[in-house]
Amino acid sequence: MSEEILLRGARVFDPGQELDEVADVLVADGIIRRVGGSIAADGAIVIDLKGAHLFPGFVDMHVHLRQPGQDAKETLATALGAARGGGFTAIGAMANTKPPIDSAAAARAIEEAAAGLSPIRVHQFGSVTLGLQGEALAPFEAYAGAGILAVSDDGAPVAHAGVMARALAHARAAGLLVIEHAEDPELAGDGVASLSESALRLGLPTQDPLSEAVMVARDVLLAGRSGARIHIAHASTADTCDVVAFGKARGVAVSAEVTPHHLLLTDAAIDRGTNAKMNPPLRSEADRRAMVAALEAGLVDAVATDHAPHTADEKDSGWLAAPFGVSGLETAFSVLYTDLVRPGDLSLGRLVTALSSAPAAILGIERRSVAPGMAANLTAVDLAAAWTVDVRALATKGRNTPFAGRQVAGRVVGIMAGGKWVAA
Amino acid sequence: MKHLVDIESLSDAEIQEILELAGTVRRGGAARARGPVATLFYEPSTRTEMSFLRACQIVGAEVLRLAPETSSATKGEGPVETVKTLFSIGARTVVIRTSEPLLPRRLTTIGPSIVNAGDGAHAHPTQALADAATLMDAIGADLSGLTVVMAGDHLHSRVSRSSATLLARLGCRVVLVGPPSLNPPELARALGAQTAASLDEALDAADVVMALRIQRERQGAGLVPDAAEYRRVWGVTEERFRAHPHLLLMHPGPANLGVEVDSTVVDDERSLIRRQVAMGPYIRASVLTIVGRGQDA
Repeated sequence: MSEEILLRGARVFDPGQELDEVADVLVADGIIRRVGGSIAADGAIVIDLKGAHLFPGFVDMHVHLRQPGQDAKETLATALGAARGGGFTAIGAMANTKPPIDSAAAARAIEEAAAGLSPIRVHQFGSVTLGLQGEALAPFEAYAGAGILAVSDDGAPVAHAGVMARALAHARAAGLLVIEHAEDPELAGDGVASLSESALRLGLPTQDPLSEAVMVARDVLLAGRSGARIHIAHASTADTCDVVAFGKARGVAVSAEVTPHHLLLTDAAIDRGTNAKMNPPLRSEADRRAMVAALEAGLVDAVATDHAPHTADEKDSGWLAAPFGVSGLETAFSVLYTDLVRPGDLSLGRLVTALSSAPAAILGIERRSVAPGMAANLTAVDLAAAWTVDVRALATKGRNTPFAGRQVAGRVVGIMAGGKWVAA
Repeated sequence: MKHLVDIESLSDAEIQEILELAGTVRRGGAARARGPVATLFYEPSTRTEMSFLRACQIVGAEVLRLAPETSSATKGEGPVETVKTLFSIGARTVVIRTSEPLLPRRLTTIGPSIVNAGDGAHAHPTQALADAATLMDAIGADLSGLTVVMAGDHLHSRVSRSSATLLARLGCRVVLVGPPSLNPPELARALGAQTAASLDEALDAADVVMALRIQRERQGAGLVPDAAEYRRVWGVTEERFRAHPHLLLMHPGPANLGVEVDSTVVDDERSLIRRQVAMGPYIRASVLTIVGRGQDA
């Protein structure tokens, strides 16, 4: 398939090369061949992108596909549709499914099923512990042999320090990234919201916000000793940023991601209902500001959605019973662009890096760069296009988004992945 | 006003309307509920449910009394479906007690008036209104400038939240004291109240002390000291009560005698505890009448 595709007239914006200019991009066999002022079509399929921005391809390293076992929440097809709508060229899938993904065969089965549906690359992660039970380690060498990139018990922390110490040592040997849902179980308790005036006023059981940084401190120290790569999922507090900074200053191979909702919403939003119930919970305004500053500074490396679809019935079952989590794939770029980049709180360059080259580097997948010779993973967005988040129009089954009804700017036009152009 | 889910949702005028109509009812004035009242108590309650049932008698409401332990709730039917069923059967007001915070608010879109008789640790608005009415009856209609100390477990207490909020809105200086693990300063701030480091320090400036029920199961969780230690530090003991000769005592009940309050002070002439209970049906009769009027709006 020596198919040539010419992406014409977009404003190519690649912060990794400090590139920001209108140019044509010629792709053949999934590889970027030329980036230049005016490239002749010469038989190539032409995609007109005038007026749009063309970014390095977005990567969401934190998605709950709900497969296998939870078709009512999401299917591979609906999740991949949502990823396409959000401009993602690759996604990392967590292992807390039913049953959990704790074997190389189970992980490969998801990746192969996804490959049959979409050119968007699904990287299925394996669990850290068998059955997500927090005790016996899953087969890390078999994971690595099957091309699995990372392990995580996300949804829950690896609660026991000894188990985590062993997991990091094995992950280092197998070359796997460990992604930690950092939450001290005792400090978090049965809390459904972060300790705050608004949660206490409503009588909700609360989590001590230090439950996150306490666990990050443990993991950073353990990872530093073993030399393993550790990635902090959904970092949400200023204290966590401080601990990550400590780890990086020590030379620990620690990275961190932050979600759109922790960058944009605070505990004040919990009054709106269970679509503001997620774990980690929404934090204080001071924490939110700290996360934005840490993302801008590069201390927090990546933006990831923690896309966690649930059914409406599940989310309508009350504050105590409703499951944690919000859908995020289709709204991530637009809400962040609208509420952080446009007002000047976050640079477009940092947002694009955190959505593309940074998570790609953490996972060790194809580099995200709009340059000749690079794999053509690209995301086109019309920054001027306004749209309204209508949950009925989303591709995901999960209508549980706190951004429902929001007027936003920045509409994904399409993606280039796996050698194919896919309109959003 | 069609529903009563918490104090925060009430305007100042609505608070005054409820208190005034309760006074009218208590003096023998007429008040009528609009239609059948259903009680739906998912948690056991003696005084609150009896108080509502008495209120229904006062306002001439027919009562549909659903005991969830003998109903479809045992088959997994959720409260939303149950309230829809009660509405279809003819209930125009549903009085609900639940362990789930914010459930009453969630039920307000279904059809009947919803009256919150306690939802988890969130709110117990009729108790707060009865407490305020009791205080007004005891010392006069203007509560501004009054210092009310509330002692005990605020973290798990719906009474603390609703009463502190209401009394602060009526002009009282409300001071929350209790074991640090059960009295987070963020909660006091959220309620418009203050905190003090010790009960003794707080009582020196207090006009009223409200002792809160300490739940024994909190001790197992390591949140409170043992009963003797609790009484010594946070209890309204006979010695403390005698040392403050003008102090009035309140308690939302049921009390752990000899823990948060001594039995010898419960029946003291400065104790308002019986009057709080007696005020309950009048406040609830007033609320049932007013939400019934709101059904036309």
